[in-house]
Amino acid sequence: MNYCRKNLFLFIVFFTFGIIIGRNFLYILSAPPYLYWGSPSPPGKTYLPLRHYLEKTLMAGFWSNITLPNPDVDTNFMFQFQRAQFALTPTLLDHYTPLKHQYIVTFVGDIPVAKVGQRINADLVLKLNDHIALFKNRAFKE
Amino acid sequence: MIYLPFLIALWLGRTIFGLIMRRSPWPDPIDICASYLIGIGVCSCLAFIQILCWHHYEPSILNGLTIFSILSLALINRNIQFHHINSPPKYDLHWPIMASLLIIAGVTLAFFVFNNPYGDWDAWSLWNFRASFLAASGEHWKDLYTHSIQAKHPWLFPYWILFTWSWGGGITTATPCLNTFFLSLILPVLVICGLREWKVPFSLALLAGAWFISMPYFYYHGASQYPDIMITCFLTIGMIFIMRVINNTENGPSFFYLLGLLMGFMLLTKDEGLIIYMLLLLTLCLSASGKTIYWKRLFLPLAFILPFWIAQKIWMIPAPAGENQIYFGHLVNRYRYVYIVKYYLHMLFNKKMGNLFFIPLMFFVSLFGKNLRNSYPKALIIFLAGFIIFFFLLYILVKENLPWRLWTTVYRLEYQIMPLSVMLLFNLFSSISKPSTRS
Repeated sequence: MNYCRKNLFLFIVFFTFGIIIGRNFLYILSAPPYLYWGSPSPPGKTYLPLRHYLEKTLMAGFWSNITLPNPDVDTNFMFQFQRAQFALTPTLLDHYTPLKHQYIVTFVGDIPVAKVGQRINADLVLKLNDHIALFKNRAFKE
Repeated sequence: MIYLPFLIALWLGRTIFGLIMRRSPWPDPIDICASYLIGIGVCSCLAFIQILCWHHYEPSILNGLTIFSILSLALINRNIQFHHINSPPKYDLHWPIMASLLIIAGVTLAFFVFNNPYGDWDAWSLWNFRASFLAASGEHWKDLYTHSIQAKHPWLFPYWILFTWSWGGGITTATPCLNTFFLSLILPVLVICGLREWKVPFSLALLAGAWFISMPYFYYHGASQYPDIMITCFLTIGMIFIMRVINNTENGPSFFYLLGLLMGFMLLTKDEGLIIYMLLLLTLCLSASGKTIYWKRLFLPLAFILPFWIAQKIWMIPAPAGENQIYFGHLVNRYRYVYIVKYYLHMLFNKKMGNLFFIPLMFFVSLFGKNLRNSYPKALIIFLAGFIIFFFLLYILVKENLPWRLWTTVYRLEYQIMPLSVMLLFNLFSSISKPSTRS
């Protein structure tokens, strides 16, 4: 490839990918930060896109104003839930996988075991079973 | 404290790298990444050994075992003379640009990762869940392999998470978050530095890196805490090392130990690790003809890895009826072919994939480049074609519900080959833009 054609080719490559990269970052800035698969969100949490945090930072001028959530805050919440899974596995685990995800989010939020420090007992297992029954019925109807 | 397990993995990996290669990985970014990945593999094997020998998870014993390994390796390493030292990189304007790209990627990734502290579906319900099971199950730890859902995988990843908890001060979501953060950040480094190794101009390599980190899927999947990120790192670095053999930049006997070790850890990461391992071997066979390949040294690391793999396979219960079964009658069902192709296209045109449809388009355009006839990256094309064809056939033959199977797996497979696809494309661009050798 001669010099002129090479530069033209590289210009087209850089120009095209420049547009693609710009568009992608615009999308990332305004996209919601939670995953599209429906990961379990802590209840009562409001998610804001990255742009919100950047604007806040630029206006205030301090990085300390970025309030990223501390993952450890909700750790116990999740692990209490997982201990409930242990109590019922593999039955409960089997029910989760192939079905709808959105319900899990509310399902987790509704579980009394989700409170920090609460211990698993027979009553709780019964409540969980009720939830599972409800969950299965709803999922199959959908 | 939560950074400690990652530093230990890096240190252990660096020492093992030094023992094998008789040189320090510093300051080559690819070698540093390789060291870190080896460290992860070794640390997870340490966690496995601790539980196997003591019949339950005990952080203090695991930490002691790690310290013993560090001290032993340090003692052995002290007597080894490094006969080769990497030349320092030539610093120019490109390096600050690369650092800026990594900072942008890091900040954005941190935002996504820490907004999803539990990771995606499989992370909290399978992979991290298994890690917490190992931590809490006591003597029943082998039940890890008998829970029916996804019992087919070898569980290197949960053992690594367990190791991070052991050194990170307890069970926390912070270390899985940091783990996925570091592993994801390795990928743009590998893309840029790998392309540089293949003599692609730095500006094009940086453009490839910028495109890679601009893909929304890089962040979405990076925050998922799936082991696919780990397998993508092993695969990408494995291919870069294979290209070193092909390009004669590094093909000493000891280098094959390193390559074998890195490829072998894929066997312990996920069940498709075995397929990728075989495909990489095939790529090496087909594209490195005329080069010296030390097969025995390549397979020797398996002596270390296979016992872990076999033990886990023995304890596994068989897959439930209907799962992972194939039916050859599907070969004549043309609707399955159409459905799979449509799904592939749907994924390529997905906005979250960052408009990946440019890959086939640009690839098609690149084929017209006259310079490509002699300089196309044969190994990359062989691997990617083999990967796509194999999984296409698997989807055709699989017995279980096809839409569900595609919906739950294609995006992960796409992520696994995303760095190599980007590298292939920019390698082709570089080949096209090179001055013609013909008069």
